[in-house]
Amino acid sequence: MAVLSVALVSTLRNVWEGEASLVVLRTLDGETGIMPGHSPLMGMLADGPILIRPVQGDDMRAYIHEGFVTVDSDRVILLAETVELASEIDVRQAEDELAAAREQGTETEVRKAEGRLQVAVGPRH
Amino acid sequence: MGAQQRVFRRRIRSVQATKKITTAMELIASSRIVKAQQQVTATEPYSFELMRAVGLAASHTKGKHPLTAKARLEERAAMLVITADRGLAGAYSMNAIKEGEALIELMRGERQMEVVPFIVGRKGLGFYKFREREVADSWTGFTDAPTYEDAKPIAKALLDRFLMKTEDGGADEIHIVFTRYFNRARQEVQVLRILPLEVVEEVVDTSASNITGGDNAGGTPVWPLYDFEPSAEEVLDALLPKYVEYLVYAALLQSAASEHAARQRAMKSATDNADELMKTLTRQANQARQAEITQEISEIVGGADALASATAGS
Repeated sequence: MAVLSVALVSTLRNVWEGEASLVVLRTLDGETGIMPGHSPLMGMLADGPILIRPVQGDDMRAYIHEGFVTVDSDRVILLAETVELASEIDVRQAEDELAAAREQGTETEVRKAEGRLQVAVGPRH
Repeated sequence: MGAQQRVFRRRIRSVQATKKITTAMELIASSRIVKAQQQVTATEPYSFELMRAVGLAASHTKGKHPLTAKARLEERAAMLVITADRGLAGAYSMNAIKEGEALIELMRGERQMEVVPFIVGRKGLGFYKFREREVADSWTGFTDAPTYEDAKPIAKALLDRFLMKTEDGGADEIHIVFTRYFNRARQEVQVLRILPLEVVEEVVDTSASNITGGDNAGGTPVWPLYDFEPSAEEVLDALLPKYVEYLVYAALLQSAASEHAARQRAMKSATDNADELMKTLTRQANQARQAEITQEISEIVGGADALASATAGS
């Protein structure tokens, strides 16, 4: 079966590179799932969580800020200003930030904090 | 111990203390070069993919984007000069400032363009402040370890100035004066025009064009038909400012690496100089000590002689 070759790149480093069977992300128009054989696409990403399902290993989640995606011939390039992997986000800290944002933050701040917490905690059971 | 000897000892001690400081600064600078260099390399994948994306989006849009359009009136240019926050880095900041001055001269002389300066780094700001020259905007406090967050407000200020109408004080061209880092021994001040942008529509690799077929022998790049979300124009609108941000960030990183390299070199020659000075001073101190001993001996011998002749005479 064909696989996607995925590169997740931030301004600071090459965050992740590898083969995946599914990438779920949110463009400005809405949530999109990308699987092998997807038609060429280029889009702006909404700030929020993304999911990468590698061919081997567990699902990866990350929070993306100011990103773009290019899909072409089963090659997916995710380009973002900042990328935080789930393992890099401190759950406790994310909870505190969410509480602070709900207390006295703008709507964007609340959404950002929610997104980060969602990435850090993982899928709800 | 004689007075002269004491003077030499004191000077040797003071030079020794200075040497300790310069050695420490040299070591710190050389470890920071490595870090700065790694940061420069770490941004390379981003720059590669970003440029590719810009080229791709640009090839799908018709007409000129305001950021890529050629200068309208050529009346005013803005320049960003990147200098250091701290001194003790040899001629590093001064070289960038001088290059900026040369650019101003060139613009004034050849194209009758006014130049609006933007400054990064306390040293550059000090230069302008001391001469009571106007600075459009300045940023300080991060030149030895710039982050992307530092680059964003700078890029925004430059973009705003570029998009402003010329009549209202907007700039028709934006240049960056920064120091490119080649290796530890070689850094060069360079001037880069960042706006209007020159988008390189790269030749597409064959793997990307397999949808439009393999008959692309004509040489003109053929992109596969992309779906754009929301649209090619909007994607380009969002991408180009990112590209400018990246260019500013890259210039800051290059300059930081150069700053550390310049500081390391300056501190190394200061340390060498201190060594040399200590050698000379030690020699002089030894000479003074020897002179004192010789004098003491001759005094003793003289005294004994006088005593002996006095006893013999009586």
